[in-house]
Amino acid sequence: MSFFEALAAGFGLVAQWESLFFLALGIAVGVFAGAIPGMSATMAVALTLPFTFALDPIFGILLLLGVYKGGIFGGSIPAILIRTPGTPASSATALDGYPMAEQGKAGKALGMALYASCIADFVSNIALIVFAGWLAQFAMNFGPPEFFTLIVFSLTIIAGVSGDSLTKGIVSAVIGLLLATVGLDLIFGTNRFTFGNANLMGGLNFIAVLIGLFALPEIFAHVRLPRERDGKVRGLGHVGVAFDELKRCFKSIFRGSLIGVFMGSIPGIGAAPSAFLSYSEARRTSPNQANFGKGEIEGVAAAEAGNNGVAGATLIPLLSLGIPGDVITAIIIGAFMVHDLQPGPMLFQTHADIIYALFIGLIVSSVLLFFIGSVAIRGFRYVADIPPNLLFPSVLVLCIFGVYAVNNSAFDVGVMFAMGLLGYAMVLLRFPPAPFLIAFILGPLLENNFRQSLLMSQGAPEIFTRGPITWTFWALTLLALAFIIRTTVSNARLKRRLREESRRHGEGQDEATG
Amino acid sequence: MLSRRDETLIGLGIMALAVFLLAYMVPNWIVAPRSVRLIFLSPMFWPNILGWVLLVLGGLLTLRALLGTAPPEGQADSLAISGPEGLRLVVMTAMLVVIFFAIPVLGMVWTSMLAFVATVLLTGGKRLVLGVLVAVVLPLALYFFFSKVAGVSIPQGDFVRLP
Amino acid sequence: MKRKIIAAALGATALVTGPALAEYPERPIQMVIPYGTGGATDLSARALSNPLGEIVPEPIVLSNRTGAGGATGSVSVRDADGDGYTLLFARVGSHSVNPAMKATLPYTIDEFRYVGVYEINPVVCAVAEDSDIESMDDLIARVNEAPGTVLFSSSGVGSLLHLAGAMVLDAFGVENPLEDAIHLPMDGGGAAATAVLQGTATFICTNSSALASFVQNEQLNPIMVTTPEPLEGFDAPTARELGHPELEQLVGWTGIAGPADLTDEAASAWEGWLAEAVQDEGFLDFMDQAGSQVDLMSPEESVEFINGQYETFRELVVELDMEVE
Repeated sequence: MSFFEALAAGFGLVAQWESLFFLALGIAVGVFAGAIPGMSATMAVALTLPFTFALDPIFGILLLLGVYKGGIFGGSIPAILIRTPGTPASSATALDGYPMAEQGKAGKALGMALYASCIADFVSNIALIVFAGWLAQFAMNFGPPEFFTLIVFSLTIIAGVSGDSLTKGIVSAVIGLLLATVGLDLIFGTNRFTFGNANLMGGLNFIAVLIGLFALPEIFAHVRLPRERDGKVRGLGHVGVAFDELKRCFKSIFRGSLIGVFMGSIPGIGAAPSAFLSYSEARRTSPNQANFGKGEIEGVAAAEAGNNGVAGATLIPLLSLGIPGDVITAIIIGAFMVHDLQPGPMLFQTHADIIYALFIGLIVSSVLLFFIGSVAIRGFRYVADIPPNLLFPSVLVLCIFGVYAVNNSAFDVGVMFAMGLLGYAMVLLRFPPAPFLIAFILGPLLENNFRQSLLMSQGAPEIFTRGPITWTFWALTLLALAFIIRTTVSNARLKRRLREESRRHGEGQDEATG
Repeated sequence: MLSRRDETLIGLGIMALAVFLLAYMVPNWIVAPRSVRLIFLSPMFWPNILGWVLLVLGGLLTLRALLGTAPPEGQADSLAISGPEGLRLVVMTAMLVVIFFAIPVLGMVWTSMLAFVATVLLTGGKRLVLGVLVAVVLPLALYFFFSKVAGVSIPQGDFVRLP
Repeated sequence: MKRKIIAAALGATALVTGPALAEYPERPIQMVIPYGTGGATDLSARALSNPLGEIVPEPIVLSNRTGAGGATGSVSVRDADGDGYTLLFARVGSHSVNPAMKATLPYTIDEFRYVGVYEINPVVCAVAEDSDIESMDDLIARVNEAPGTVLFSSSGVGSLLHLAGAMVLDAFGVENPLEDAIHLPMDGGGAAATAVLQGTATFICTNSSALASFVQNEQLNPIMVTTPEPLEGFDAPTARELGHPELEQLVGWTGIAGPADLTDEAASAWEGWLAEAVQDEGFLDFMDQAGSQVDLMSPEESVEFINGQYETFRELVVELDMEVE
């Protein structure tokens, strides 16, 4: 299929009322769920996934992408109105958004958040369309050794940027890799950790693992400490942004979008660091520097742009290489897989119409987000009233039905429960769950490509350094390692210095009072 | 950050897990064919590597907890779970086990209704009337969606079958 | 308010529980497809379910239950009640290749009652379009000249593709097919075809339906088909023309089976429904496009056919020491 044929076929797929309907539905569900304090965009995407099985692939995937985009914007609503970010990525938004709400300018902050989100989203989608096809074309030449080195590189970054403790992040990833080995061995077909159970022979179902890991711990946390929602919902004030305000913030929005695109296209970084980087860059260069943190509208714009600029770009490695960049794209891979579509370079050859339909749908989604978002801003008051003590049991029931429906297997419901316990233990012991999930997906790819390469070369390890592509990835891996070690060491030094300073400060106070 | 004692225990726990994996799980629960020509190709190769990596990481965590600077007094996150909190978590866990075994017997819809009400009661039982209403409507709605629209056969149980 | 709703819910269920002893079927029938959506088994099952849905008085619910090369789904049906409400789409991979190759398979082919095999799907061997191999002779010459350089991809150990590659090489007189050529297991049939397409593997032998689109787009070049007659859309000689009629045993098939204790009532009902469903025009057209032949076997013929194929495969597995322990 030529480019234009594919584009036309894709257009045909999107230009059905169902496509637009499911996209709009997804965005609405995402904004709604993202706006509920305690629900994250991740949970919303995970819980929507089982509902997409009954749909055509293109409708199902558009629905999920809608939830993703809507969820990221939705998270900014409670961040601004009650200072409870719906998603971690919205924390940066709360820095200036909540002070604005306190000043009675919540409507303005939300309006700016929406403008920034939609513009950044649009820029990000354009980047996806420009780069994904090109990268996939290039990746068509990848054989098992090239994929192996690529995955080594991706896992290095993912483990490296995974929260406070590098070691705990790697432990989390290793446990994910280990659980991925359950089932039949690919090369020899023998049993690994199946304990004679036919259900385990197929391996642990990815969606059961994922829902268990990301939805159930929230339920446990609620059961442990059933709290009513506190925090007052602020009045909106005047909704809308004046044109000169938008113009003033435009530079920050555009910069934030580009930061988002860059950070999003590297697997493993995700939206939260991008939002904070964009925010701090805006503060560094803004003439209103002093007002940041006290209710500066440019801060809201920068944070939201950095946050949403990631949304399209994370699909670049997902679609063209089959590598999920963050947890949400890891879930979206599941939507492709249930329809027997394997993201990766081949998808551009075999299902180019679906790819182009997705591209067109994503562009449309930026526009739809704008309208649905405007409505949601005004309707938040009702969402905030959903009582948590009914929300979480509902999530539990949704999880049970959803996980069962994936593979018609009650056993998978048990897998989900077990993973929920593991996930809650990880939360308690401060192990980040994201590296676990991404490693769980990449684990079989890593091992299989490694062993397939050695099969091809009859055991000669030189195959891992064949050609310039493998060399490039090894070099990138070394570079990433050096960078991670450097930041870890300097962070530790910084922490120690801060602690010493605070101790000295404390001692000084003691002397003064004593 | 957790206290020095907790972090040390976590490190030791990870090491114990690694030893259990290397000494028991891999040799007993992985079948390697007789005729593996290359050690790299054996089904045991990766799990063994992962076991060793885990052992080293556990050691690192332990060392860091013992030698590194501990968080100042009163600033460490506490792992302590109060009595009622712990009890609720244990009941919730037990409930998950019961749900798993009740699904084939009672059917998924009835099990979900009971689980919903039980969870509401477990967390204080506020808004019980509304809760019971949602408990009945939500599983029924999901049942009709999945079985009639999505074509999934939701487990029905041995007692009361839905249409 | 809430009492009313509960009462209404109970009332609704009471209606359907009604008389306990009625004629089969009195509720929806679940049919398990032991492979994923979009695969050969799934497409075949869904094509058949269209006419079946009109013939069978109760709804048919198709459930994909994937995992372990069809074993997970097969076991779930073996362990189900034999009341006829849980049936399986049995496939060549799950019910003849896997049992022939895997010593530890948690089920045997005798643990099912076969209602009928309804579809036969020939095997096609293919190489990449830009490969310098253009015929079976070229391929065999390459294997013999440079052992260890020819790879064939499969969708996993114990798949039809795995066995087919070995069986074809064996039939063409390669001494040690699994040492002179390398078996490269990939994750699924799509990945296996891709590996040949981009040059990681040299050739692939799999069901015609899995290769049809690649051959149509001139990405893969077929070099042999296992049907007695030339296959439309695949410009390649038959195994018989190449002097190996024994390879005609190497075919994929799909059939319907229940647990061993399936009631006679259900079995005979299904025999009638199947006979009617395979006459359906839309179904026949669809199967034709995939290169499949619709040929309904009676339960006895089915058992004989499956056992015959199992014996052939088993012999090869023992001869080449391919058994998975």
